[in-house]
Amino acid sequence: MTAPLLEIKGLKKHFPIGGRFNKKGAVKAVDGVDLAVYPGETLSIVGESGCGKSTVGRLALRLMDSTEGEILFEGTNIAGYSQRQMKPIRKDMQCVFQDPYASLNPRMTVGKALAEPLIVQQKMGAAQAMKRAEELLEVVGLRASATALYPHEFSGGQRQRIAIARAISLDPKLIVADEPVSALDVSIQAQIVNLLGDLQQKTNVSYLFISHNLSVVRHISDRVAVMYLGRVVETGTKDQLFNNPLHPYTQALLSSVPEPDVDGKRERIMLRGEVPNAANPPSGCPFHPRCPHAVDRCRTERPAFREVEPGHSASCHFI
Amino acid sequence: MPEAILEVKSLRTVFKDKHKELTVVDGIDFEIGPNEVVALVGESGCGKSMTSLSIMQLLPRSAEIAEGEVRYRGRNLVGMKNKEMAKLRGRHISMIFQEPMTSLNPVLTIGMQLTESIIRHLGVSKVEADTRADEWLKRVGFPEPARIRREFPHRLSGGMRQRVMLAMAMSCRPDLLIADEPTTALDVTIQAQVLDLIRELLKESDMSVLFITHDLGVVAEMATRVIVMYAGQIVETTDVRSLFQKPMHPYTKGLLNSTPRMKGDIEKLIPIAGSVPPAGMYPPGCRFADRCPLAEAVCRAEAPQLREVVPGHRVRCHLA
Repeated sequence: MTAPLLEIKGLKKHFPIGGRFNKKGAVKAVDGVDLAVYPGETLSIVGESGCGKSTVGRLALRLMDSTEGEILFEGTNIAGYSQRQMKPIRKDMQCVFQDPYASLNPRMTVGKALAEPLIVQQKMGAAQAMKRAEELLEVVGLRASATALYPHEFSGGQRQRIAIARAISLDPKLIVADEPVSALDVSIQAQIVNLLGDLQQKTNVSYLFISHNLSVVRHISDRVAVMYLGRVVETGTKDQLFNNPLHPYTQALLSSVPEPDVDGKRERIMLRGEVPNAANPPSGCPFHPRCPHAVDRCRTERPAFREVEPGHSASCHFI
Repeated sequence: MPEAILEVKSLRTVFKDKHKELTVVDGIDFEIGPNEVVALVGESGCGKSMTSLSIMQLLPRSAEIAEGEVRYRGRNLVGMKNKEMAKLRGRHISMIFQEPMTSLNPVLTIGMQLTESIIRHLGVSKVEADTRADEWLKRVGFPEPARIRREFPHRLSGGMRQRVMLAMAMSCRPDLLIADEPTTALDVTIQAQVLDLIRELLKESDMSVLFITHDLGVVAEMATRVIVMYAGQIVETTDVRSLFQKPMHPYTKGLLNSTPRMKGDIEKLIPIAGSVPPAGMYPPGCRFADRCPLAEAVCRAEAPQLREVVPGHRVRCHLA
């Protein structure tokens, strides 16, 4: 088996509550996550608001410092690297965010925005970088002449294409895509999902795809990790996870997605209540207050995360 | 046919400034009967939210209804005095929005906001209003309503706020609920709870709902009839079953093909090429022609009319 491109081990991020002198505990946004992304694959992290999925992405990119744990990029632990040490690695790990309006500088032409990383990282001359920017725009399905325009002259879907062009400009090995299609209309969303798939086939880039949209995840992923309250509760290949979900939370999550189809009765697992506060997570299994199958043991004992079949793991006492 | 609760006739809504007029809702006709759930679907900028605000007479100051009628039980709401309209709003026609935080007043308790409309519209005492508020809060799934009444909106989660909004909208037992993307901002497990709740409330009253959404999954689950809008116009309308099983307009087909599924084989998504033209920049013929895989010369030359292709199924397409 090939070595993982990105491997995360025991990653934690705790945000302290209160000031320096009246500490009131911490929000355990990420509380012991293990993940691996292999070359050329798409690993998706799914979960609801506040489960810590975006924080994992930011920690992996070293956009924020972790509290504990290892981040191995091509085998090297970069968790403690300074920003200066990170600089040569940055070209290999890029990101695409949800809101393409916020991630492009409104006062910079698209050409300049695309040329800048080439000039900084690859020491290209301005003219050569601009030429490369034109090529990149064509790769993502825009006209080369778009280099002269400003971000506000594009629609949301086009802006997301520009953000993707910038992310691939340095031939990265990994792109962390945090809800990249969530702000887009469904007809445009499909264009971007297809574009990401085509680019991966061409360049063998890996994606860490963070999304709450399960049907998009089903279309784009090789493997999926489900997060709940700062922890991974189930991982598996796409088929394992969608055809045979093991964790009661995964089962409920999948059954909650409304399907655009009028036939086919579905069994919906309705969850009680809402996601608990990450500052004060429940004892035992963190999912027990909402779990339809919870028994006394779940309230006291935290279930181990164990492999049920090759590649398919979950943390529940009853699997 | 029983009397319609709501009739919208040739509605045209425009944004207006000194120099120009921009039509964003362009000649919309539809009806909602008793106990019907009509879904208004379309992508950003298709005019679905402007249609709902036109019905409620809640348009922003820069917009106005240029033509048409909105009849609630036969009474035309267009041009109705604000005072009259205020008697209808919240009492007979209620509305819930996508973002419950912006619809709730942050400095008033839930109880004050919930009882205000009950006292005003039903003319009951404060004590009686509190009792009714508690009943509704229980109904929408708060086991301790008296405690929730004393809370401020920021203390509640998004799902709880949307349930409070629903309690507020339902508290005077309206005939018509307009729900504008009510679950779009919610997580999917919470969305399932809220949709389930709306369905239950529908079962025990003969309320009608206009459900505005971009999510075809939600449409399939909630609606009895569907109206698909594109670029300010209705392009297809029929019952929910026909829409999903025999869609006729290429735009509707495009939307269905570009929606990823949770079941079945994973096929490559078929997106709709290009993007929605901005209001005021519509092509002369069919507004969808530039993105339509089937477009012919006639589509670019002549604007198609919305016509009944099979009984109960109307489509705005030359080729249907």
